[in-house]
Amino acid sequence: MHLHRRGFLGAALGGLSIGAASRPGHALQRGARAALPSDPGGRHLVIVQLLGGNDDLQMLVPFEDDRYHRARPDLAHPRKQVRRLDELNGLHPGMRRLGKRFDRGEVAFVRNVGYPEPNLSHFRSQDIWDLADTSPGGREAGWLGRWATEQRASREDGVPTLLSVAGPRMPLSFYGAETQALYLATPDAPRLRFAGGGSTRAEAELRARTAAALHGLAPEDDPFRTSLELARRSSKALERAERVGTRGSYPGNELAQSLAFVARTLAAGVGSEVTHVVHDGYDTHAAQSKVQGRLLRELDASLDAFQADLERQGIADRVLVCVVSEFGRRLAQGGRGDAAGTDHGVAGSVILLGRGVQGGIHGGQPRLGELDGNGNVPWSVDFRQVYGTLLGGWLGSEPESVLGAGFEQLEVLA
Amino acid sequence: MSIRMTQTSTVPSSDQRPFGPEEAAHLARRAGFGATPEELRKLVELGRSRAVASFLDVPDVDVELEAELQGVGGELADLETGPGVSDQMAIESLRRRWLYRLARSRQPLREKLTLFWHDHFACSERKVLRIGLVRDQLELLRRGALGPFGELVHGIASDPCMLVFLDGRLNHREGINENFARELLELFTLGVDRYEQADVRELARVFTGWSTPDRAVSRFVFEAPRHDPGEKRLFGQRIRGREGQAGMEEGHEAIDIILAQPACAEFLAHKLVAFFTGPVPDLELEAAVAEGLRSSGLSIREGLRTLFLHPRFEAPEHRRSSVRSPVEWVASAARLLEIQNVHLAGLGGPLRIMGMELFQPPSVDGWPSERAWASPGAVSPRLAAALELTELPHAAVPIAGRAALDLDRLAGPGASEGPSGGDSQADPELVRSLAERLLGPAPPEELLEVLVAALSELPGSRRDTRTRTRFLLHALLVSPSFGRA
Repeated sequence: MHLHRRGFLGAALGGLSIGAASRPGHALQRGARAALPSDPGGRHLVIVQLLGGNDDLQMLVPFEDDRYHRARPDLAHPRKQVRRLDELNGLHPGMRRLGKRFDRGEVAFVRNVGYPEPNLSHFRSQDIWDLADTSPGGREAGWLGRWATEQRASREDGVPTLLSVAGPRMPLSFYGAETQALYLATPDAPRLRFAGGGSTRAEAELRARTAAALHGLAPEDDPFRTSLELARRSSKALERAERVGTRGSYPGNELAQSLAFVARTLAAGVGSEVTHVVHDGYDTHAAQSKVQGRLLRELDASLDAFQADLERQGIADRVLVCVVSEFGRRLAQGGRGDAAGTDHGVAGSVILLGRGVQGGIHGGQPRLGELDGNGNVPWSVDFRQVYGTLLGGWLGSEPESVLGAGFEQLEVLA
Repeated sequence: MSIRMTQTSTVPSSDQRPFGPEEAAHLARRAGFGATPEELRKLVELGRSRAVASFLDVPDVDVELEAELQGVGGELADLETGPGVSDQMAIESLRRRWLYRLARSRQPLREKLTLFWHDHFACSERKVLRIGLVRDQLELLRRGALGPFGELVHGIASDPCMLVFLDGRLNHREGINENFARELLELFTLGVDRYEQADVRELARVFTGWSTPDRAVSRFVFEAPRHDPGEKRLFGQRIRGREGQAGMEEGHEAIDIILAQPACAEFLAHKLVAFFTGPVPDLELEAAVAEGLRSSGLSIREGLRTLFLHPRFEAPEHRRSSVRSPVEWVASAARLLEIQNVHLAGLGGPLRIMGMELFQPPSVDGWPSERAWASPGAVSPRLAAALELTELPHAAVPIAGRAALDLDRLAGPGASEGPSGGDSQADPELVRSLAERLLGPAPPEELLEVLVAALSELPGSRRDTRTRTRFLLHALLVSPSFGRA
């Protein structure tokens, strides 16, 4: 293969601009926001994944059910301590902010969520949720990857359709849409910035152009072929989020920092259609009261701060938050005293937060009298019904092509 | 000709296939972190089976390296434990010293396997918190990296770091904790769907009482009063319940039952084959490795010998098919650039941003599969990391307390003339020589063309050989070709 020198490099990426000086901490001027390209104006979905299997019975407490109190002598919240939502159910005492939003109709709980032939392995169950398939052996593309691929090609403005912030890895749910999906290991846009390096700007550009040309040599189906180009385009787009800076006050925990970054992308008009963030540590086999208590307080404060930020920006009606976890936990506690915890279970709860929800508790009371052979609370709502509702009712697309038929949408959106 | 025939009939059949620079380079990328030109020449001279043996048949400890690390001061000082050392200092010290071993050890396979086992038996210091325990676990993995798999499993079951990480120390006859038992079956030995929930339950009962005292340093204890002395059944086999200290024997008996499951050798073979050959499934190779493991009492060394000597190991679809994880990428770069005092090269930050902080695997499932390492978020930090490495100061001889590169040596003969490292070497020769160093023999022609074209755009003031060398090394390090092993 013979190629002209300049021609080859030039063709790879014309007019590449890299290494643009950043201005960290440069506060956005009031008038400056109008100058930014307008947000497509569409709706955004933020998935918060609670890693490890959140024990929803301690979060959304059926405090009038004696079986709950009997099975968990060291864990159960006394009736008086829960934040009452209705005559049967209350929230973990550390979740008063979400309680307040529940009263305002901004929170919908979907209870008893699961799937047929439940798998008690974290990884298998997370795969099942991410692929939206209960026998995921053959599938490679995640449910959001399938959705994004169906929607369109990459966005012209370089904003990834799917953005994953600060999780342990690119979520499997994004797989299949690698050219539209970006994973950031930290909620920190500057770190994405290209470091071409060299003595001059021209040399930095030459380095970046060379790297791009080398990536262009990779075979068609090689992720390297597109990853550098998407990183470059995304980094330019997300630099705008960097310039916006964080408004509002967020707690210091990692979930809150991820959500603060998501809010900045929305404020800068470079919000992805779907963003994925995580909150890790819910695998509470031991010392659950302390560990999960801290996590739920963080979750409560982080979601509330995010929602308040969106309200200040005037975009709260365009953003829906969906909190999921790979499974709930067993009814009976394991261990004793402060060390008490719970093992992997089956049914769990999904939280939907935003102005677009139909507030309330959906999915019925947990059937604590009908445990399965392993002592687990049975499920009754398929998680794909939740996904179908998000796809059909919020993102305005056709759920069946992504999920297959037979998953009735839920009446949980306004 | 007839003499040659006689010779080949006495050597193992694997040596009848050609073993040239390409095959040797493939072996070095897989069993280690690549080979420098000198190392490559040696491997080719050895021939296949002795080259494979040079990776496998190594002493339990790299004595020279450990001597280097003994009593060393400064950034490499052993701050892993001791009074007045904060946890942050201790874990950073542990990371730097491991990176040093990855980049310097004469037993690259042992270090690569230590990384494999760290991912396999993944524990995060963020939960364990006590760095002495983390250090001791790493030592257990390094020492047992090539030994019988059973020794590793028995060791990990009573390893204080694991007992904290998967809550084994809280497993009590009156409060069964299934966490370790489940992962022992699912992630460590058999794989998902190879056991029933009842086996998890019974195994958790077996391990009641296996604990580590709360604030003590790295000590295993069997607490008989916490142990459930009743009879258990695991995979249909009866485990006799025992009272008192004898109760601990049940755990070892259970591990032996697990190791004897046919699924165990298959599971281990599958993981080893995936790690050492990449994402293209190879059932023939897996079956051979499983047999190699079974017939050797699950010896990892013998399983890997089967793997590296098998004709399928060198199949075209397995060459350059694995995306290097960030740690592998850094270790390979440090070795092939022969960086002096690599621990001072500031690689901790780049590794963190690339998403692979040692001792902080994201979950007990370890780090993501390799596909993630080629994703946009993981690729762009490599540009910055490559810059850290290729802009190190030039030094022909190591200078204490300073990370450096010998640019003249890297540029090769012909570049050493002239006052500034020589400007005599023409672009195409320099490109080819550096590409062969980092990528191995016969780099793709179009890659060489891109690099020659790029060099021609460097301004006249930046055309000396050292600057051209830095520029090319950076481009090669960030190339997808170097991104794969």
